[in-house]
Amino acid sequence: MRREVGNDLLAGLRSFVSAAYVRGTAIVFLLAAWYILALALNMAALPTPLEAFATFFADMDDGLGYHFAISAYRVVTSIALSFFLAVPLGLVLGREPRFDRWVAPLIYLTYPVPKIVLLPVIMAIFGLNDFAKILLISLVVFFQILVTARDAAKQINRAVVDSMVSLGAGRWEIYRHVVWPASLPDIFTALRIGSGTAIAVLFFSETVGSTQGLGYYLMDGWSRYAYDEMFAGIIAMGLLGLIIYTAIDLIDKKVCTWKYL
Amino acid sequence: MIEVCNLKVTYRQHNGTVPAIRDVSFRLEGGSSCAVIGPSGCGKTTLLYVLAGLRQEFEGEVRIKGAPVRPRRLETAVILQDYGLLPWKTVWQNAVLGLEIRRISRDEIRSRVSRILKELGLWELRNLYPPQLSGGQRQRVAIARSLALRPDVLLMDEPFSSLDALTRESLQENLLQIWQRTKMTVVIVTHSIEEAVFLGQKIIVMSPRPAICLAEVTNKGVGTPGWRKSREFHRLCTYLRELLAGEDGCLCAVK
Ligand SMILES: Nc1ncnc2c1ncn2[C@@H]1O[C@H](COP(=O)(O)OP(=O)(O)OP(=O)(O)O)[C@@H](O)[C@H]1O
Ligand SMILES: [Mg+2]
Repeated sequence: MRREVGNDLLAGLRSFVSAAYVRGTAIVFLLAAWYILALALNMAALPTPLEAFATFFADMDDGLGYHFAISAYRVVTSIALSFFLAVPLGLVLGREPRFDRWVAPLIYLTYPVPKIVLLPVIMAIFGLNDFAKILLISLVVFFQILVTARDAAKQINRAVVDSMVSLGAGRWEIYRHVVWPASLPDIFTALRIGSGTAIAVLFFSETVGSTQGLGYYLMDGWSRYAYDEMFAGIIAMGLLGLIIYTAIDLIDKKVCTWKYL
Repeated sequence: MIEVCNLKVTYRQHNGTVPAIRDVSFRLEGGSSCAVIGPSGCGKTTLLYVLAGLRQEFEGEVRIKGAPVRPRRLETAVILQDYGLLPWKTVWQNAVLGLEIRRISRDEIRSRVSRILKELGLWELRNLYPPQLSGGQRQRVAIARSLALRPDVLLMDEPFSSLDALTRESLQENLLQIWQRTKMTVVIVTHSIEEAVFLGQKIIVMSPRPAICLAEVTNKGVGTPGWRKSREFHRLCTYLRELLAGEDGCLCAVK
C-alpha cells in the first residue's frame, strides 16, 4: 500500500515535470519568435521581450500591480456572477420544456447580438464605474454559460433519469445527482471560452473613459509612445488570462475526476 | 403479487400512434421468478416500464401487492437496459444512491452496502468509476445497488445481454442464489432463451409488436441442481425456440 502511494507520487511528479517541460518549451519558443521579430522589424512600437519584461517587473510595484488587481477583481467577479446566475437558470431551462418554450425565443434573438455594442448604452446609464464594467462583462459570459448549460441539460439521456426515478429520486435529487454533474464538463468548457471573451470585453470597457485597470494602463502607455509600458500591459493581460484559465482547468480536473480517467 | 390484466400500451410518435403492446395478461405469485422473452422491439422494455411505474399511460390494470402501480414505489427495484450506473459516481457512491434518497441513516447505509459489496466481490473496487470496470462488474454494481434497497420486486431489463457467455452464466448463478435467499419477486426481460429457462419459473413469450402473450410456460426446474445440464432444460429451450420462430402455428396449440 505504502509502495503504491510512493509510486503514485512519483508518477504524479513525473507527469508534472513533463507538463512543465512542454510548457517551458512553448514559452521559450514564443519568446524567441518575439525576440527575432522585434530585431527584424527594429521599430519602437515593438520592443524586445527583454525590455518589455524589464518594464513589467519594474512597474509591478508601481502602478501596474494596482491596475492588475483592479482588472482581476472586475473580471473574476463577472465570471463568478455569470456562473451563479446562468448555471441554475440554464439547467432548469434544459430540463423544464414548459419554461424553455417561452424563454428560448428570447435567447435565440438576443444571443447573436454582440453584447459589446451595448457598451455605450451601459456606460451612459450606469456611468463609468466598476458596476457598469462588471455588468457588461457578465452579460457576455452569462449568455455563453446559459446556452451551454441549457443544451447540456437537454441532452441528458432519458434512461439515466428514469433509472434515478426508479430509485425513488424526486426532482431535486435528479438535479443534484444527474443534471448538475452531467452538465459540469460542458459548463467548464463554456467557462474556459468565456474567460477569454471576458478579458477581451474587460479590455474594451477599460479603454473608455477609464483611469484604472490594465486596459487603461495599456492605452495610456500607447498614447505616450511608451511602448515598453504598453507591452508590459499586454504581458499583464496575458498573465491574467493564463491565471484564470489555469484556475478553471485545475478546478475542472478536481471536480470532474471521472472525465479524466 | 403482480397482476397484469389486458395491458395495452400505445406510443405517440410524430406520425401518429404506434401500438406497442396489444393485450398482455399474467399473474405472478409473490417470491416467484418470471422471464419475459420475445423478438426485439416487441415491447418488453415497455412492459417493464409499466411494471416499474415509469410509464403511466396505459390501458388495462396492473397491480402490485393489490395496489395499482405507481411511480416511485419504494419496494420495487429496477435495473434498466444500459444506463443503470452514473459515470460520475464511484462504485460505492452508486451503490448507496438509492438508500441516500430514502434518507436511511449513514451507519445503516454503511453496514448494508459494505456487506452487499463484499458478497458480490465488489469491495476492492468500491473507489473505482464505472468506466474503469468490466461489463460484468458493472452489472454486479447495478445488482448491488438494487439489493441494498431490500426490494420485494426486482425488475431487470436484459441485465446480462452485453456480457460474454461465461460471465453471463456466472452472473445468472449469482442472481439465482440471491433470488432463492431473498425470496423477492423477480421479473427478468431477456433475449436469451437459455437465460429465460434457467431463471424463469414462469416464462412469458411475447409476439412481435404489437405484443400479445404467445404463451405462458410453467418451468418447475428452476433452481434444481444441475438444471442447466439436464435434458428437460434443453427440451424446454427447443420448445421455446420453435415457439418464437413460428409463432402463428404454435399459438393455438399452447393457449
Ligand atoms: N418512447 C417511445 N416513443 C415511441 N415509440 C416507442 C418508444 N419506446 C418504444 N417505442 C416503440 O415501441 C416498440 C416496443 O419497444 P420496446 O423498447 O418496449 O421493445 P423491446 O422489446 O424492449 O426491444 P429490445 O429487445 O430491442 O430492447 C418498439 O417498436 C419501439 O419502436
Ligand atoms: Mg428493450
